[in-house]
Amino acid sequence: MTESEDIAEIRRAVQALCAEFPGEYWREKDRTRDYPGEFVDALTQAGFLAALIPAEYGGSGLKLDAAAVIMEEIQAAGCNGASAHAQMYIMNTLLKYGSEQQKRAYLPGIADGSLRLQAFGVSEPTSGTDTLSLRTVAVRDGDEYVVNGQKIWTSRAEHSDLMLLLARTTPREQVAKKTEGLSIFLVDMRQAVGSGMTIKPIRTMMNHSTTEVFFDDLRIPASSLIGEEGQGFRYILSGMNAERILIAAECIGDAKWFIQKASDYAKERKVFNRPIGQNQGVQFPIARCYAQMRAAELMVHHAASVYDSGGNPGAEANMAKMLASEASWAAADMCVQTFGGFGFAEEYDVERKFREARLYTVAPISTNLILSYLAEHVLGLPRSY
Amino acid sequence: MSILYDEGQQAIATESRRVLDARVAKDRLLKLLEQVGEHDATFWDTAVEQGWTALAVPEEHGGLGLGLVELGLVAQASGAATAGAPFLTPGYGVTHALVAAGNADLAAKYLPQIASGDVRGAVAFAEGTDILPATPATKFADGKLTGSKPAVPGAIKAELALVWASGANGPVLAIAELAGAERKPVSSFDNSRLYADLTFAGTPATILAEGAAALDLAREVLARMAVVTAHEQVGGSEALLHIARDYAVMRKAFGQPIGAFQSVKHRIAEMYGLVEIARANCIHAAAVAGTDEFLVAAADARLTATEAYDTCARDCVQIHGGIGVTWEQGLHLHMRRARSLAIEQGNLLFWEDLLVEKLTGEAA
Repeated sequence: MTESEDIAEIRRAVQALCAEFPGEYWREKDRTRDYPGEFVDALTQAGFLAALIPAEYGGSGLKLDAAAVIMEEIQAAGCNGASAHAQMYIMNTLLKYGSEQQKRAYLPGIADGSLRLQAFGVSEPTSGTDTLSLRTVAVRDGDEYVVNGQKIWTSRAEHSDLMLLLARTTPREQVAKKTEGLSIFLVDMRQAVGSGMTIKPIRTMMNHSTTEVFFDDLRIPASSLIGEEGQGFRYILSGMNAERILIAAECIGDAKWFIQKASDYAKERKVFNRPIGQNQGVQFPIARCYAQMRAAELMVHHAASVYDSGGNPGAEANMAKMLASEASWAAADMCVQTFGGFGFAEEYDVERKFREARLYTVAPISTNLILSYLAEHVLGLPRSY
Repeated sequence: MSILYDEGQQAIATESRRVLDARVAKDRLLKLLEQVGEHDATFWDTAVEQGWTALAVPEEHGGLGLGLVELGLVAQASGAATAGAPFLTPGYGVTHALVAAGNADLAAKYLPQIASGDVRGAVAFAEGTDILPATPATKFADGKLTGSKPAVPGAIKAELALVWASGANGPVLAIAELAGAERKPVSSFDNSRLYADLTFAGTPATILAEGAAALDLAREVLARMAVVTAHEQVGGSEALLHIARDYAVMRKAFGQPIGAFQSVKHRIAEMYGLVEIARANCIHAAAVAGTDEFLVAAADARLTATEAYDTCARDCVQIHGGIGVTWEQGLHLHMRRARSLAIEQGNLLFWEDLLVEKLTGEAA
């Protein structure tokens, strides 16, 4: 695959930036469970997180394929883009379905980083992937909506100014189609925290800044509704395809990091008087991971090009996420195995990346739901759930 | 129980292997693949002569009164030889059903003939891919069976069948002589299994169990047959393991035995692991027959033995390269048998579901 000079230039620029944030930086953050604010600031200042925002709103107006390359390079450099990737894609719903006034009000700030839109409130304790059964409600009261309920796995809520919130505005039994009755709001968390919104961090096995968010009679202005009331589910679907493609690209970057790391180590580490990479038992798993990663990479670029050309990339985005997350997880496992005992030592970063890479066969959508999608919507098999 | 076989059991294992090594010929088995309706008569005559048909039949009915452990050892030897007659396992299923149902007249009528090899049993439970359908389409009423059972192993030649059908009060297990049933031979990739579609049109039959008792007994019979089959699968897997090992030591490439390459030798080591896990599960399952643990143990044996045989069949061909796919080399005898045995007595999904049900207490 030959890339355009523009894309190659983006890769070099991201690599140069990431070189400023070596393993020690991430290990320290991992140890203290701190948010990598310096890294996110650097990405923001360099304009990378505004890649998808059109130039008229202060962004760089790049295609998704180019944005995917940014995320890939971040991961391939050993950094963790999960701290920032949402700034890139959550605004998609605002861009596509927000009013001109809303876009003027928020997009320039998101583009220059003065406004952080990093939180997306969808999952709830009782509705994981079954989004339509969510229970958080927003009830119209004059010029306001009153929000009650709870969200979970809302990542980066403590490090975000705005939250895109999906809530039910019409009871499920009163809607004509089951996909209706949910609405999307852009909630200003700077005002909400302490006056109806509470955020509780959830400690996880990696440094991921995820939280639970509680709504207790939170009042938000009616003007924070995006698009039409009741159409929220439809609005977020398109954003989810972009999210899946970008995260798939991150997985490709992770796989490349693991493969590079393992190859370097296998060449240099000697056991029985020869490099361990001379053993088929060591080199074949690395080679297999490489082939698996390259195949997944093709699907990621294919999905991005379908998205960029205006098509519906539902199947491709799902397949890209599944294949790429499986490739990165296979590479992670292989890398630990190649490193032997050192794979568990913090100083090699392998164990940290291993923990971080594990997330993506689960989030933002689990492999089972992807297989269900392909079986039902692509192959015409009966719905299984 | 001890996981060690006693002296008598070891003798059965050694003797059955010795006899089959001497009498089963690959050329004969290859010819059987190309004709519908023939089994390996030499093997079956040997089974009768050696008393394998009588192994699990109670002594009062002319049998040896032994059980699943001993039958499993014979099945293991048969599996290693890809022996071409499908009667030992279903014969055991029919035997167990007759004994467990407690119908003295039927037991006295059929068991001596099963022991002597004069009557060969078939077990007709499955309809389509469902090995034990909740409401079978085959009906039982007024002492007669009506309906069809597709691709029943051994059914081209068996004289007696144990049939899973729907009766007036839920499912029934019935025993029927096949003289009155229509058999349509199925041409398959493993023809010596003697698959036939059985059609009953008012075929006389006798109920052994009905309702919940029928389901319990059908599962027990299926599990017992699955354990015999799992032993057969282990025998086949182990034979393939040895074939692969011997070839890897003998065959040279790039100036060294291919077994010196890690990608080959590690693969053989993995086959060994699968075979031994399956063997352990088989021994355990055979040892706990008749206890509450049995269904779970049978499922374990069945699942691991199926994986072992499938994997060994695939990897053994891979290790042989081009020679592995030739007709004369005959590895395809195992490949075919691995697939036919993977389906007989219920596929992996059935056993996985059963395992889930038993472990969680909920129907999957």
